[in-house]
Amino acid sequence: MISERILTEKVAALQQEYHQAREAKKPSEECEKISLQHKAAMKELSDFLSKGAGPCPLCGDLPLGMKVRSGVYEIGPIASPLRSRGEYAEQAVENWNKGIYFYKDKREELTTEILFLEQDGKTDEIAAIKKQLQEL
Amino acid sequence: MATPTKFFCFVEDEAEKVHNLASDTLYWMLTNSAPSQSNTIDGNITEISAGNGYTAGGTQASQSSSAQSSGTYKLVIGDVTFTASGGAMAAFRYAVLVNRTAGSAGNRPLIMYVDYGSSITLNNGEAFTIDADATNGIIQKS
Repeated sequence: MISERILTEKVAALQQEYHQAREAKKPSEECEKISLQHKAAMKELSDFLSKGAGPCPLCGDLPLGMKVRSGVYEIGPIASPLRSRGEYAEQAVENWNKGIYFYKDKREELTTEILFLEQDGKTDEIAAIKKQLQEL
Repeated sequence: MATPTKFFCFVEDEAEKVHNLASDTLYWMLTNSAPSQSNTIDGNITEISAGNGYTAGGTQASQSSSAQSSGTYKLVIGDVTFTASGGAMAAFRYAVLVNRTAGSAGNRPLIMYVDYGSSITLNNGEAFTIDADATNGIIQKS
């Protein structure tokens, strides 16, 4: 049965295999093949952690899933600043689907709010937010 | 995370296939001596002493994602925590990201460093986390 632990171990094992192949100066084609397997395993883990997450309301991409550190999981796409967090992956996905986003600070929150407002063409509200940003 | 500073060599190394950022083994190495952006290899860095929880060469930073979307590439790595044990860890102010796969010890290419502003001493049991920015990635290019 697939689990985060199994997928994490698979990623680490492939990265180790790639590292050893490079150290042993194996042909570049062989190293590249292992690297592609490693990348595929990273994607498999990311997909597992972000399973059930809907598309990003800003960029439309499906978010990636990652373990930031013990007890902190994060969901978010590459091309958008939106992020959701949780103590476990499913909680991060739940927060994402509910539109509960994670911001490092107020500046980040306001900057992201502008992106939503630009999407909706709310120029007056954008000006007000920009003023708040200047005052930070 | 404090704003990272790229080593000058990184931009050329990227263009000349020195790095495979998706799969190469990357390590955060600690130092209390200010790196120079003109440094190129780990042999140029005065690493802190090993012991009390710090292993020579540093600690691996694992990639979470190395991908692009609509022409924006991000390399996202997980956080790394250093924990002092058995005594105080040697003081450090800077963390240096090194590519361990792309060279042998002393000749490993440098990527970036982070300046934490003042020397940090971890006493026994204390921990310090290098909080890599998962939102923007440790490296972002478009």
